Amino acid sequence: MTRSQSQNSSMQGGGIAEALRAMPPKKAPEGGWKRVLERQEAKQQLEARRRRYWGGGMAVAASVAVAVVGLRLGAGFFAGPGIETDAVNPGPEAASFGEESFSSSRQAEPPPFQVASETAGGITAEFGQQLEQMDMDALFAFSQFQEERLRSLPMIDFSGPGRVVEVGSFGLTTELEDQIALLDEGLIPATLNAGDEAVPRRLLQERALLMEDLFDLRRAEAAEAGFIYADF
Amino acid sequence: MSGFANRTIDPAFVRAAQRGDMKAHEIIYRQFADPVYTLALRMTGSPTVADDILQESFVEVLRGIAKFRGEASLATWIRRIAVSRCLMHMRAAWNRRRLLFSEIVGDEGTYEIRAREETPELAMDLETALDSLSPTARAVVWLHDVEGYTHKEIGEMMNRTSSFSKSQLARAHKRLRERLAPAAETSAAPVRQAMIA
Repeated sequence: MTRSQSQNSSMQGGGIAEALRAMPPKKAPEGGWKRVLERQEAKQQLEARRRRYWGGGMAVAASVAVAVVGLRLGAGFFAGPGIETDAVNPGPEAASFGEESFSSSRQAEPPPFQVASETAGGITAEFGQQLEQMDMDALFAFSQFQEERLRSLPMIDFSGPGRVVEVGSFGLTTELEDQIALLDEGLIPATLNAGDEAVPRRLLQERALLMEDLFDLRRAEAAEAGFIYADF
Repeated sequence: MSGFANRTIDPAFVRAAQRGDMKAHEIIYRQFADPVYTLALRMTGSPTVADDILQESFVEVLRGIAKFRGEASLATWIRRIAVSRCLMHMRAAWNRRRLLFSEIVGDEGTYEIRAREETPELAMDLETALDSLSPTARAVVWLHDVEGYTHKEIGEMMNRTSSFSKSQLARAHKRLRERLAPAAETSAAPVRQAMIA
């Protein structure tokens, strides 16, 4: 009797569900445990790097990049759309960046010109056009604003083992963080003195898009956890 | 089956793993690697992705077992991690675009065409028929029929409603019957009757 005939025979008794349950288990590929250990090691290294980068003095490389082009922008030059937080756990970053603690609800000042006024549903075409029009100084300044806005969100650990409901967002968040770190630590500094402004400008635009995605994700996580009000 | 139900482990190994004993971790891996891989393969349909999910799941087991309180069995806990990882894969940005495309085209689109190309004869065995479903439908079928999750649980895991799970299951069963029917017709007429009924 072939496997197909055997499966079909089993369906005679109890239908598809029973036939599916009767399907034989598959054998995991050889050498899997070694690869698990290697991946665990790689993740530990990556997380240590991420902690160094996103914790404490967040976006150090971006600050260095600002210094390279001699920008000296006052704090608050760019401020975001009103962000109201419950400040359950603003994380250590807020204080370490020299900002006031978010001990109460906070309303950021409106921006001097409207940038990405509505990105809650994802990045808009208008936002992309605005980025295209920004020169290097404006892009650096906007990246500073994005970092401050991101820092204003409460930090939530969605990485606990066995979480099922929050599928997707954690993996996507770390992916975005890695891409932004890669831009800041390598690609953008490497291209700043190349003579051709087009390359770092394009990378900064890409960074701005990634930061918007990251902010949207973090905000959605925080809203779902009840740490912030959703309508900002 | 995924095989979780058949796997038990001495609690002493769990306690040792919680203390960081890597040998105990390896024993747990060897006990549950096949069920996790089977689950991932059935839900995603890709051996490569299933291998990736297997590794990701056990990295999470390594990291999280210290917090495992034993309220459910270790098998249930590991299965939950694996399911979470599968759904995470399905919701990854690059994969969402593929899923969106398949939803636009419909179940009779890409997956059906692929399955038919791979099996030009009309008859499909169950494994091929399962693979011919869209990823979402396949995941719902497997989680409900094999792993025993309720529609409510599946809906919550997928950030959808229980009705979504029910309708996905009903449509998937219908398609599986349709795709398996020719095989039954040629090999045994009563099988077809049982499936269509």
